[in-house]
Amino acid sequence: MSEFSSLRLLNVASFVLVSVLSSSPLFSQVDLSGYWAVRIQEDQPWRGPGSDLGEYQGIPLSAAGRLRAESWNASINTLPEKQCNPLPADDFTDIGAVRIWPEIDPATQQVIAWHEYTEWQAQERIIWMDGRPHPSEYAPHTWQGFSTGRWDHDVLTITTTHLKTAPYERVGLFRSDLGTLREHWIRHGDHITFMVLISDPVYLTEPFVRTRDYVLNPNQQLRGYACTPTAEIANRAEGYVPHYLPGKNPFLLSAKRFGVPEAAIGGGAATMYPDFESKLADPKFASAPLPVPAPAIQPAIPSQAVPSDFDKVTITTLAVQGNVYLIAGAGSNVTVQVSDDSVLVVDTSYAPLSAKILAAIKQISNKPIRYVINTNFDPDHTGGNAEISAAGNQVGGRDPAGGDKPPGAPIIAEEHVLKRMSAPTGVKSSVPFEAWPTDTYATPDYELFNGEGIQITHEPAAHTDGDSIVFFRRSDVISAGDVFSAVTYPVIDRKNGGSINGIIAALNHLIKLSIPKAKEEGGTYIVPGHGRICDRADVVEYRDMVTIIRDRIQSMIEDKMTLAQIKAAQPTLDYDARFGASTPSWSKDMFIDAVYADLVNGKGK
Amino acid sequence: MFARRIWGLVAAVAVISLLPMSLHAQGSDASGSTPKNTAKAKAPTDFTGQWISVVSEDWRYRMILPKKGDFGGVPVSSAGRKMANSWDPSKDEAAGEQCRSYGAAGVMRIPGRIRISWADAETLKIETEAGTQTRLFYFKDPKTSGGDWQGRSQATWETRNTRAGTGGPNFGGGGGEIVNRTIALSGGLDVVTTNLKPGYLRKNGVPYSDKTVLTEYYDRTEEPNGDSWLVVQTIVDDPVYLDEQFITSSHFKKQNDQSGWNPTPCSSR
Repeated sequence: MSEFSSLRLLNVASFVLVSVLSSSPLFSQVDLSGYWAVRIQEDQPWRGPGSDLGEYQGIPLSAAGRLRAESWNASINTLPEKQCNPLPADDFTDIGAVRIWPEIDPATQQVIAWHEYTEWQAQERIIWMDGRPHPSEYAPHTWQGFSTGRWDHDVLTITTTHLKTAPYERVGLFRSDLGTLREHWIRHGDHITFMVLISDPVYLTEPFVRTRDYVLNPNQQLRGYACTPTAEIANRAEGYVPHYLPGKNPFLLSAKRFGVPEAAIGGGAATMYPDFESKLADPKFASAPLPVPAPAIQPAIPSQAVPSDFDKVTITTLAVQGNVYLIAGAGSNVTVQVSDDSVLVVDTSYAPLSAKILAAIKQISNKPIRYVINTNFDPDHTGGNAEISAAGNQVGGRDPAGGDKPPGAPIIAEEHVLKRMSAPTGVKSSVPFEAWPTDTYATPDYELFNGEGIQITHEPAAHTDGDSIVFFRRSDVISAGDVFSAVTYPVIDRKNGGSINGIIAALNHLIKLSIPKAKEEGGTYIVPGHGRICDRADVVEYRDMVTIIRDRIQSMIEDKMTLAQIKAAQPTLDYDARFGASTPSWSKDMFIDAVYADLVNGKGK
Repeated sequence: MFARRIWGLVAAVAVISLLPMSLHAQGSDASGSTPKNTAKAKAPTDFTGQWISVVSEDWRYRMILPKKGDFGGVPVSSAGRKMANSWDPSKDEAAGEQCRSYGAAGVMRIPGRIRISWADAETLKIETEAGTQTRLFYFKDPKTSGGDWQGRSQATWETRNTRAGTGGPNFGGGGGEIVNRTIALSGGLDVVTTNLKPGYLRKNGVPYSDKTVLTEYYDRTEEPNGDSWLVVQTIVDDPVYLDEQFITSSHFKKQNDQSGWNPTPCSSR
């Protein structure tokens, strides 16, 4: 074969190869764009007028999901901090018309993302198609979550994570922030079906699947929606959280009017399957409530126990907002704020992690550490004090040893922190002197300046008697310490001055200080003592949980129940799989013990 | 030698690229033959196997007998409303018409398992536990004139224009017109059913007439946990008893075996 023939053959072969290989992306591109009109012909009574309270048949509820739903009081939506909660991604197909459009890279003409706008409460979702990874586990969660998509034949398959805890039905049926969505958007001509599979280790025992249908309607006009919260009910006590105590919701049985059998009305995975229908033919089976599924008490979040090997701890750094960063790994969260000439550090985690934390700080800024703040005295918040303080320096200070070395960064805390870490004269403290706070305050608050105003506020008798929250005013970020955890029930250290009442007051204070950017999302970000970055809606969810559990235990005490009886009644059941993670120093039972002890001693309200 | 190597490479890449498609195609039929151009051989998606309906929507209309006159969500016409309000299951039983809600336009909404298999290389078969019905989807000329509960079903694999820059895709099933362009099977199954015996959309007598045209789209999904779902979108056009299309989507989870299969007779209640 001549060289020319060989080259020609090579060209032809190359063309065939390219054609074969390029057929895949072309094969999997369907135009989803357009205005789509909702068809509420399926599930109409539930999507139109809305479900009835207590009507959970066909939903794979866990015992936690059922208790949460039965405790839900519609009046909670009148709270100003709840009024602007939008529909979450789970529910975008519930009622509103939608518009879908592609975001196209102008250079490559490839679809980077699909956008979806739901008219009802004006929600926009973005489904990234460019292969980007999902965010860090410490990143904030949103109502719409973070979505990525890919084509399976002509079906767009979507995975959504980083969702806020939100209801998927308007009767208190919640998916937790550990839940995820899997979706399939299926277009056939002028029809599109949105299949949504909701998975949640807290409130569901298996995926809850819904398929919803829309019809192309090019002439559709969608409206916007702005929400301004206001006090709808006057003279409510601050921090009031409407809810029903277990077994005392008077509205649960209204669904019986539709003839739904007792066995089905409480929901559970069994009610979704055809064999359940045949069992309903037995009047004895149909008339008895279905046994409550085994409680999901295995926490879905890993324990925050002290690491057995600090060398294996991975440190994650995340920009929060403005000049504020989060360093997370084990121990407490470390909040770092930077200005043009200084670095400020809130909490220092465990001592063995100091080198890793200092390295992470250097990645954020090479300016000197000028301030260290402790939000409480716990070793997982103060363990690195000595090393991290020593790595910084004061402005204008002198070497306490009389040499040339400038003193380390001052360690600032509320005065009770120093009392807990130090020891009376003549007694040796278990904490080295170098780790003690150097600057304490005994006033309600304290101010610092580091390129922006920094407000440190004492939250009395909360986690301990020396808790501080640190508000970076221009960055609009609050470092909350252990008055707020995104991981566990609040640690109430009664021995060191903590109380349930103080925790709730501190949470309400955080809520009052925070203002969302829009629709209860973003705006002020809150770095909890442990866990991911949050915003006001997350604090509200946590405040609601703590308040509801306190009220339940209070009611049980008033009903003359003993502590053992209260524990047996599982007053935390609906939150255990989310916040019940145990450490050697804290557990669900210890939380109940602490709340009980506070309440019987009159410190609860 | 050089040319042989190149073509060998091309062939290998082509085979690998097309492998997922051919994996979807069905194995041999009862006779063991797999002619290349049959619907079965070309199947872009494998729908065969046993599936179980998961009733997480319209529960009250599907798992129990809805009350007379409760037809929420169905765009019934005044004639349909009149008919639904005169529903009397005992009359259906007396007339031997207990299968009215098990016709093609209603049967996929009735809770139960279904079995999908190839009756022959051009006919896909769906058997239902509920009412012990058999639906036949013909990819070639239907071998029935209909007139019974399951009517006459014409099936097509969805196709779509795959040639770049030739004026946009055809989405299949009522979308644009396919005009002399490169087309490819794109995964879904479209079924249009006519010549139906009048029946019920729901068990409480919400009617459809013999003028009904039933369009169905079948799609299959795969999930990370190993689950597979069959999604059936059902569009009922009935100029007699509906004011507009009645659209629902039913979902079925794939079963790994044939267990639990328990066909039951039609029931009016």
